[in-house]
Amino acid sequence: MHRRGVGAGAIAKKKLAEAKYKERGTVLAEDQLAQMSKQLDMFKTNLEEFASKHKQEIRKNPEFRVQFQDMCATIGVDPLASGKGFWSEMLGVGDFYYELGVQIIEVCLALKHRNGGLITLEELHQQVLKGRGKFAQDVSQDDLIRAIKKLKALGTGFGIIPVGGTYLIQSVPAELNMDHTVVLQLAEKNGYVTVSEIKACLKWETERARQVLEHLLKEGLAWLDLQAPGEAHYWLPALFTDLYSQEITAEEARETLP
Amino acid sequence: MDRFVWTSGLLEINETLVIQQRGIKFDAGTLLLSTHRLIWRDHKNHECCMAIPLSQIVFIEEQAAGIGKSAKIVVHLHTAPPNKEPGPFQSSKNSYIKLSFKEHGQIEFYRRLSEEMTQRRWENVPVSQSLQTNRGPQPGRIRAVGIVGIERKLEEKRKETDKNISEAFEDLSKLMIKAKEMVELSKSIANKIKDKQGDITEDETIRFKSYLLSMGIANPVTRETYGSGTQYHMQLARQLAGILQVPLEERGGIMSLTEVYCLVNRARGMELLSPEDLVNACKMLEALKLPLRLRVFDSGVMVIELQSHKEEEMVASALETVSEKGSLTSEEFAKLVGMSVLLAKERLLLAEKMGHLCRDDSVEGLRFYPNLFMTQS
Repeated sequence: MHRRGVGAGAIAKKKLAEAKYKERGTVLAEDQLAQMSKQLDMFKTNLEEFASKHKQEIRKNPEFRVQFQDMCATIGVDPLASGKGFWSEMLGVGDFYYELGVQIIEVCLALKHRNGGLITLEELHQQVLKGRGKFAQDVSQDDLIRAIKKLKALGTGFGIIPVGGTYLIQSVPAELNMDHTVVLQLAEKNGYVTVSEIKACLKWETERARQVLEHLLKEGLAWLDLQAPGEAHYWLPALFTDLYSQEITAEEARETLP
Repeated sequence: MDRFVWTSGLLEINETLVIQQRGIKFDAGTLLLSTHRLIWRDHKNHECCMAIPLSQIVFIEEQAAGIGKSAKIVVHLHTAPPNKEPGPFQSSKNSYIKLSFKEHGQIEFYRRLSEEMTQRRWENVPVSQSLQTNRGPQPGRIRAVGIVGIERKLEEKRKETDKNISEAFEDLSKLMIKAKEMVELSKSIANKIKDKQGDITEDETIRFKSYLLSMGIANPVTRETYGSGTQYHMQLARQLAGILQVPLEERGGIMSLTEVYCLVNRARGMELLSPEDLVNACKMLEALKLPLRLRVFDSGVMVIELQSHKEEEMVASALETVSEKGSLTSEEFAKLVGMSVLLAKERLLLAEKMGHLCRDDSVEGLRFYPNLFMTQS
């Protein structure tokens, strides 16, 4: 009787078939690579055309930039991943954001002595605009956020913390967990926070509140005010920039301390 | 609002009614737009009727409706001419009026009013009642002078910009469709590669990665959002080794990646590196046997150091420094040695890790002392 599909012969045949499929697979992948290469060239041409017509739009219009970024994100493309990418080379989006990254780093470094490495998005925005000068192109807060997200790759401890209706930007690698963040958000209202306030609003034990505040003090993000009426106030320099009417350097700050 | 003039509400000769809209505020009235004037007639009291010559209008803008608010048109006006005929108010400090459209119709009215402003038909066909115009009417010719002219030009420019933007969005959408095709193709190729598990050549992998890099597509196999290990990054690594040698030596052999990013991009001026470009290039430094290397501290801080730099040796000298002073914080140490606070902290932490220093962590800050437990047992 002739039985099918068993025996050494059948196994050998099966292996041969598999090998052939694999080979076919190789051929298919090469084909696809070649196809991708061709499509890539075509896409590059399309992008060049787009750039020649609308490059200005991206440069001048922040809303358009947002749309552009959102669309890219939706389809799974990151136009800012590399300066060597098509998007960057042809639309110039790369240079815009990478340079912004440099400016953000510089502003944060300059103000670190004052606020411990924590700054509101508003203040960062103002300072960056100041640094860019009158004739430079306008940047929006959305632009800043995107640039900062990219900077995270440098392992610098850049973080974005939502507070109130805005964001706090962290530029030093300080350990901030959920508890710390929540207290920062609470402090946003008045620029300072007290143990009683934390206990009342967040329903925490005294010890938990104290630990969080001590940590913020240690990291240089909060200042202790023992002369405040009632109980000790913990101020967050990052949040009360309006009170600073003049720039003081780290030297001057140290000199004023007893 | 002193620009209004009492009027009989009758159309003058040659004046034609353009559009009329009910429900306009000043308490329920009807707004009429003629070729020459904006006329408001009270709903209840038909005798009450006011008008503004269109020539008095500098600029109009729309205000969208909100919750509890109806849509409005804000009409900005010139200062009243001295020989104006009597109206409801003698003087007003505002130079604009708001027309509130309680029964809609704002969009159409705005459009017609804009048109009339552009066409300026009142100039071409003067009416019997002497309406003040600041410029002599010249039939047939539209003159773009004065503020109105500028505003009109701005309006045209704005329309042009709007048109450009919609065109840009259209083109952008088309482009994105094509980009999406590329993403799908790359996924399919990546799947093939995964299945083959090593049957793919080195060359093909490199090609694929560079395609991903160009498009900014995340590598579907490794989930990295860049084509790391591409030719580009290797080149870049070599360039960096050249650029950074001297700055590193000037800074004691070690620099944070943030400093490197700023230094390199400031030097370039154009065709800047993305943060990811920099990280990827640095990751290849050691493999390419270049005289620099990337180092990641426990805290996540990333630095570039010269190969010749031995951080562990630096720790020994740090210990000396701390011992001399009794104890030091990161800031104090940084100042003494002349390095950035960030790197100073890392060095002290490393010294602690190696057992040479121990810490005193209080609200006053983090202070390091020589580890006497080790040395004085």
